[in-house]
Amino acid sequence: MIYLLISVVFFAVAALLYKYANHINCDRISIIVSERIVTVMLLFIYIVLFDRFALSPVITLLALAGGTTIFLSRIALLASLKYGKVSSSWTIVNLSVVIPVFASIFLWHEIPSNRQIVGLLLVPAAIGLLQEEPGEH
Amino acid sequence: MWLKLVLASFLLCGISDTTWKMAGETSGGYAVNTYIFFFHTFALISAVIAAIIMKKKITRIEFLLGAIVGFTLGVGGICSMKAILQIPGIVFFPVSSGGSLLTVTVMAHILWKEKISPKQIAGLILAVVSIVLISMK
Repeated sequence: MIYLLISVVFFAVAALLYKYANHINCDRISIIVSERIVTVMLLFIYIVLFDRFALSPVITLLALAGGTTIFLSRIALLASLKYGKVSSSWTIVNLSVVIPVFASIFLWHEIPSNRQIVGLLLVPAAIGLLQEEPGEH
Repeated sequence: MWLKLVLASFLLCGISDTTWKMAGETSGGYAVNTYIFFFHTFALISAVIAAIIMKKKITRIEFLLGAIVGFTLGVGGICSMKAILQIPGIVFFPVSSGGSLLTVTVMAHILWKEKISPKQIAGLILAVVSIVLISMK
């Protein structure tokens, strides 16, 4: 659970920095290129120092699928902003969390308890209510 | 057009998240850091191609902000994968998504005095309740 909490905090910091970048009119593609350069360098150093490169075709294909789909997702999101409200687009994209949750239930047979089912049903409602219009501040 | 783009973003983002779980499950943990490294490398390649096509130039402030975001994404990614290996996907994904949104809303209020609407307060309460319920067995 501690790793989950640390990742939540770090991803929240990243989101706050995106927000700040938006405030000062930074270009989103330029930010993405810069962030990925540093992330790749950081991970390279981390693997060399604390782990080892475990090359396998399956892992490389999964990374190719994951890396390109997340980028294309952001491009589609940015393109959608020309046609609709930012808050609506952002809320729908945030709800994509249901896809890995359903994958966990159906592919890896993770059965949620009754309490967890109630909690899972509340997440989309919470996301919908929490979502604000990015860039309105 | 808006709906098509948002649904594409929703689907691609969900697929990308699912590849993290697949990498953790298929490699048994030994190749996960290699997966994260290649994930960000492929995202970087996609972003560089987009930046070249759009003729983007990165300013100093964009690179600085991007570098900090990149550091947080790197550390957050490593911790996320460690969490995915330890806890079920039905717990990880909703808590990670809802938790980040909750933290951003609270921190934006503290840092930039952003107003929290009654709708967002209801969302905050729902997010906390759902995270507690999902974390319980």
